[in-house]
Amino acid sequence: MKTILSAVGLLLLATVQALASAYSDFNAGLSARLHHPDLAIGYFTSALADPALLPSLRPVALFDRGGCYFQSKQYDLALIDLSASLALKPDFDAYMYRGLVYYRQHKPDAALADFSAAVALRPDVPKGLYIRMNFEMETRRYREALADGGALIAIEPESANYSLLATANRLSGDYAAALSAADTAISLDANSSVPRFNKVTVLETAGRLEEALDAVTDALKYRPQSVLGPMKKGVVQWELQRYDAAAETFADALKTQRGNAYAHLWLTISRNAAHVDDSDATERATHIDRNAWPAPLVQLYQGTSTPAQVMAAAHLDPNAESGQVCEAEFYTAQWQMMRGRTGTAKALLASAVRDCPFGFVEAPAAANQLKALP
Amino acid sequence: MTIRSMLVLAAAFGWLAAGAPASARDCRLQQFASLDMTTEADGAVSVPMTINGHTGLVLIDTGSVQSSIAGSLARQLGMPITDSESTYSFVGGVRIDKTTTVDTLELGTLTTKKFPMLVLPSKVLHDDTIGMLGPDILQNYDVEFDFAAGKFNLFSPEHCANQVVYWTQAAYAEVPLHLDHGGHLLIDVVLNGKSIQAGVDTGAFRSAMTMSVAQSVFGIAPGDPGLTQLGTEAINGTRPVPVYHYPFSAVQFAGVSVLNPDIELLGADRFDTGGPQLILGVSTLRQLHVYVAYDERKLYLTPAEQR
Repeated sequence: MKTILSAVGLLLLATVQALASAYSDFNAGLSARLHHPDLAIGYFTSALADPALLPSLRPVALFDRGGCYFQSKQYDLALIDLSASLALKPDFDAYMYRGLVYYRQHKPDAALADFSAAVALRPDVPKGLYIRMNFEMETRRYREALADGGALIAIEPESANYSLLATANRLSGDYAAALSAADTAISLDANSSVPRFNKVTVLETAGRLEEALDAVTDALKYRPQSVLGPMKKGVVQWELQRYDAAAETFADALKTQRGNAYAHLWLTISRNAAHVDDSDATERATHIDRNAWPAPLVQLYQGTSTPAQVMAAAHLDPNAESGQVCEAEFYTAQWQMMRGRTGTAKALLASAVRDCPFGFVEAPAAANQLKALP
Repeated sequence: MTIRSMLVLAAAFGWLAAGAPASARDCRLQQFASLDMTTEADGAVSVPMTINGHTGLVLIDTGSVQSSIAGSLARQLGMPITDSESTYSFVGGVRIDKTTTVDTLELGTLTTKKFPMLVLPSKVLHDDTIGMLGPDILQNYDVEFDFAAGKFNLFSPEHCANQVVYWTQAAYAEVPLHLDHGGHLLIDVVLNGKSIQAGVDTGAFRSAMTMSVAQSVFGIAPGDPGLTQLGTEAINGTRPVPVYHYPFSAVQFAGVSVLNPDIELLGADRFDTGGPQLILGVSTLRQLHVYVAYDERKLYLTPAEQR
């Protein structure tokens, strides 16, 4: 019986020819890349060091090793490998991946250039347009995002893409077009709550809060166990200044999600606005993970931290920085409001409007609150 | 696949062999196409195909039902998309129910006209591929996967029996092949000493088995010390499923063995579809040189690097 060795066993092939060794290392790297990136890096490095590696496999090995470096957050090494792979073979995925590396390195222009190179290479691949469009919305290039949204729908007229177009229209201030796209998204996925929640955000941003409340109630019928839904509903109730109802919604959410730090914060904010007792806040906070964000915000509300410490903590994780800074600004603004410091709160809210990623519930909430404040 | 569509496809590609009939005494293989295989980032393989003048890579997928085109490309090329007569499901439950007709399809030097293709959602395709090359086309030929050399070859099925292994003088495995109604490749293998049925699926990048099969056939249950959870995977873009690894010692194919085969165990009931007990994906197949003789109902195998 012949025997060949795969994956882990390949290392035993000490006497095989050079081609076999390079090929075997390459295959072992493929097997390990998904769940054991460190192991895969070693295999691909061995394969790449061997001149007998089939030329067509070399860019793949570089791409995959770059992906493994990315998984282990070694972005500089990922960049080197992905660039080397692209030098050998222009490839959609390699451009997209390198764009993501640039994005993580806070180099938006380089990221956009790579996303665009990928789209130019394969304009028929929805993912390229989808990712570039999200990036454009995040960096406030709304005109370009709308153009990508149109191109995306032309090749993939699906509900999720209409929802994305609705978001781009919402962010650019064209609420009529946003609602039209949101309604189309709902019609294409009639039994799903997802496009319905997207419509809620459109209505909320347009300041049509009563309709937003009706829409969120409607969306919850399609996903009664939603985690996001009750939060969204409570925020809209809070924006409508129905603080008792908002507090009740957040309290209900906490019954099934005791560790939900955001529901905890919003419950305190709503009860404070409604002048309702919140003396169980300390007990509630014991269920919240103290070692993960947004624990610093919870500690601020408990009186064991300061706004400066919260902001410092928000900047600790570069990958989550933008979202955490947004939240630090928004919830510190509410904390300042609770202390009657409206001027300080307004400045923080203005920062939140500027800094919050477009998908965060705090973004429209901050904008609507700013409008409502004297 | 339906009987009707099989006949249509056979007719569509049948003329390609005209002018090159194999004599009863001529045992040489008649090669129709030799294409460079592109290896994807996950190890799957694809070859160039031209659809209505647009050239791109198509995944070679012996486990699909019918050759297919990305819906996004079909729309970009202005191709008419209609409901298909039959509805198909990919692994994980992805529904495929749209079809189109390609005016011209070119694979190497092979060409056909007015060819029906399924229309796929983008989430089941690799980003750099434009479709899948399925059994409806493949089963009209003998098909060779030379993974180590990066070559995909198509031969005439008209040749002398058992005389196809041209790449080596060394011994090889000859495995009886069963085709199901969809043209899928089913073989019997021995895994850890137990005989089971396996599907040869070049569209699957990992070999896979469900946890229920692992438990019923091999007695591998949750809590087994050899079982480790690798994480979760969203197979074909569906909701993530927990995947496990078990250190199987060998999978044997009538004379050729792959030691320490990389087989994922899928921990979700929706993958128990009554199909073969083991899916042999490219993570295992890449260790082999594979020649599929559809007409002869044989699979010929050697180690991938053997010459």
